[in-house]
Amino acid sequence: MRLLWKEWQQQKWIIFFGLLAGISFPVFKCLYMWKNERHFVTDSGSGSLLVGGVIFAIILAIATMHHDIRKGTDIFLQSKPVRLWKFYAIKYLLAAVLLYITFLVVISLDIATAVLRKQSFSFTWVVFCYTYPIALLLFSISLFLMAVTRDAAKTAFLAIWAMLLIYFLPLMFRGLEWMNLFEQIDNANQQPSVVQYLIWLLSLPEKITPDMAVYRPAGIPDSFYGISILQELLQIISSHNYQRYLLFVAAFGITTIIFVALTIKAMRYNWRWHPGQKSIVWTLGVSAAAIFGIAMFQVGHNLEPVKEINGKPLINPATYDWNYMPESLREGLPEGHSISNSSHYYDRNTDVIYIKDDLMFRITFGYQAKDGKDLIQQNEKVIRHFVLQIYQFPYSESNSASSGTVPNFVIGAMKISQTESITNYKRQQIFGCFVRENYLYTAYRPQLRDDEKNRIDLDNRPIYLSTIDISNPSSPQLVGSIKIKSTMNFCTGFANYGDHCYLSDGGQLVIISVAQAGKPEIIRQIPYVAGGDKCGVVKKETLDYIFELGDDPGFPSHRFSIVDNKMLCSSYTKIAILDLADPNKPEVIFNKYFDRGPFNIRDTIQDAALKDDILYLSNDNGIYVGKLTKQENNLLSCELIGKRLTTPIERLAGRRSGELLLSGDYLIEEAGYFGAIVYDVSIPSRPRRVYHAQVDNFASNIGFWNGLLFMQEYNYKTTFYQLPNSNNK
Amino acid sequence: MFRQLLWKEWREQRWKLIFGIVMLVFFTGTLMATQLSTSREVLVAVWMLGGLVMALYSAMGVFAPEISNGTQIFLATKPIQPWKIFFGKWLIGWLNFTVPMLVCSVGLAIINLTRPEGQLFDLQYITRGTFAGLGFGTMLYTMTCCFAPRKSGEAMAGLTGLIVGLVFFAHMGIIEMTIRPWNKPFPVLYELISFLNPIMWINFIQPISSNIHLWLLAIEQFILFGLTIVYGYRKWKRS
Repeated sequence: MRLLWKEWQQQKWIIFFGLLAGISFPVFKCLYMWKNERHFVTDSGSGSLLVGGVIFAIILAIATMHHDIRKGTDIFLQSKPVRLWKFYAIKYLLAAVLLYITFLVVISLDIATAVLRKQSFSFTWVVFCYTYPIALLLFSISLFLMAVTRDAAKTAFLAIWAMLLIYFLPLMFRGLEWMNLFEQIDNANQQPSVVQYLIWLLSLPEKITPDMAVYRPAGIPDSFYGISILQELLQIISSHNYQRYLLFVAAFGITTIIFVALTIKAMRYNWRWHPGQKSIVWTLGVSAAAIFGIAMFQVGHNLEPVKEINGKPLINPATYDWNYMPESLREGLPEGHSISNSSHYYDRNTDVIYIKDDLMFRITFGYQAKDGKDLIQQNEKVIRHFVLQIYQFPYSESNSASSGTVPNFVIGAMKISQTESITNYKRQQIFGCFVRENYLYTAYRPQLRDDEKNRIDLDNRPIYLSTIDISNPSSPQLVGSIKIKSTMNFCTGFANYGDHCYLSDGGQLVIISVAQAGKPEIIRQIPYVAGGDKCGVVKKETLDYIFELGDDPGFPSHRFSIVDNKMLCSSYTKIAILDLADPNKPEVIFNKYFDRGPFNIRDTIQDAALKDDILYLSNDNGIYVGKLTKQENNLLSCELIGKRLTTPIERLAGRRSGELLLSGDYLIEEAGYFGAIVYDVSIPSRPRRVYHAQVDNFASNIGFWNGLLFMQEYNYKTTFYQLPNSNNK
Repeated sequence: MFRQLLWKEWREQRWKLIFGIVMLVFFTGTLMATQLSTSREVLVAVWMLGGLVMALYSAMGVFAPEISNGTQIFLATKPIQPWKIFFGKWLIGWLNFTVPMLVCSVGLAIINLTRPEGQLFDLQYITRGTFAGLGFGTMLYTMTCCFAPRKSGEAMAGLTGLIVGLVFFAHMGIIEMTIRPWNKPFPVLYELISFLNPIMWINFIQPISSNIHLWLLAIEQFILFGLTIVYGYRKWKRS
């Protein structure tokens, strides 16, 4: 008890001032928010903890050891009839308890804010759960360093160096992902947590309405009522992310104990180490510089927008938004009404584009509203319009707007179809579009009226294939539409191959011929037994053609793309390839899951690309490369030959896997908040990142236009780049 | 004797100056080469690094080592006035962070002028920013040196600097929450109170309003600097 009292006397003022400093930021924020918005709201506690928590632990260790290592005091302590290990064990344990309480107090206001506002406090909790073990480790390291160096300044430098390594080495080495604090914070909302689950339980979610319940934490299944609390706890603890956290706690806990033991030994046997301050500072500085340099070069960009092409200056970046829409978009609308865009960026589920020569055709949808009306609320009812917009390539000479204003590259636009009045949040679906001769063909599915029970009316959602005459791009004309009965699924696979068009809603494959210009004709509708990614065995046709899926149920229908005379079909876990030698009778030559077996790609596949016999897959972990080999039965098999995994820094900088494009020896990836990444795949088994185009917010679409790579981001800002020595599509 | 004192300080501290130049140039060069952020943001990062971190580190190693090594008595026996000792040490420590910042800023200015594609930013921006960074850094450095407890070691000096920095931010927070509304009706009063804070040197880069009186900021900071130096010198003399 006396030891405890002694340690408390040594640590209490530091703890008090640390608590004061840490809580001051959230308190100030609360007062500021109350003053301006009449809300007690703060999220500064987690920031204080993240920035200052570990440094505070280092200061605490130095302050408490400072007295014990003074000349005379160290001998005096050892002369007492108390075992030496008890001194330092109690010192450590008291500090552990005080740090725990201090950290909890610092984040208490953040948690209170989240609970009161029915929001998630995952971020705050993750910061605490990861900062506390790191703080304890640095505390024990600082104790040890004080014992051997007997110098507070050197201890501080060395402890800061250790802190630097703990925080930033996981960014360099993929194998240390389990201790990468930044990645855990970045994915805070997906981290399962026993504590958050228990708090959610205590809020009695089954007894109160959903809008009053505490935010449902990650990992709680929808079938909550079907499993017991114990089963749910087991599910959380046995999840991959939680196991990784337990590994983190175990590793740091054991290392902490080792350093405490080393401290005791150092005090008992008078270990000494006197590094020069110069050596320490240079080591710290050079390590920091090396880490910084590696990090910066991983996220730095080296692809610059082009200024001209073929001697013609470009307006780059160009904006292809809803400004300058022609009067044709108002035709048929009530007086004073217009059609406004629904979103401010390209969304592949609701926007499609097709490039031909200097023209870009975009099919999208907007909502009908009075001119000047404020933004429509999500639960308001609106009429949605499917529209065609035609833009031209952004040569400076093509800009018809006056200087100083947003450039105008609009050629023409028209309304294709409209829905009845439905709730604004109901998402529409557009499958795709293509141009053949002077006609543009596009498939879309208006969604979704509600049935009498206010649920999606799955029985009444036909797909429409519209034909538009674009012989005069400034005045496109709707020729007609055909109606295709859809299944109860939500995929939007679409591709065109010569005179044929293939589309799938996840429950069927529809083959359409456009051999007769302007007159599309449905050749074949191949139903699946069940829709989406888990569809069952295809019913065998009685004709001479069988769409054979073999023993593997399901057909991937999220994305289709044509490569030579094959069609690549992908979903989140499965890839299939169809041989289109006979376009009316596509033959399945490859159909495999990739979340098992040698590939075992854990995260969902975002896109796939095919070139010759090399298959590229992208997901949030990186790029995977497989080689396709023809078997005796004419089917293909695939073996993994290489991969290029995302570095922790790239992931932290916002790389999220998206579309893949191939061009010559380059594989281009739309990388979300990281922009676009260009890989050299001249050696397919070793993709190498060679270029990076940065983006202001996030990349939503990439493609090629007139030999230039373009990247679209928020507000339809489109930037063009020239890839060196590439044979662009 | 003063020259010999300066030479002694130079010998002890020069490695810090070299370290500062190497680190700051490296960070600046890397940020510029990777184009991770705009050139202006790079400059602000350089000035922040120079002004904040290096000033703090420099302050830790000016007076405190004499206490830790027990050489302050030795210095006191030399036939030189105490104010010269104080000033000489302050000066060399001050150069430890100002020279790296100036080297960086001059280097950026030269790169800017010699760029064939055109200038990245105004030379005026570099000049004002460097001036602001030096001003803020000088105040932080001086306050850390002078407010550190008598006979404290380097660690305590560093802790003092951190507390001083914390006080700056707390002061800003209090101003923001309480007297900011006075800006319109009583601008001079608002400026008198807020310009006590060295963070306000940032107004030399980007004034928070068009009617700001920068001369008032300079005068207040100069007075604050003078008072701090006098306080520090008297403390140093007593120790």
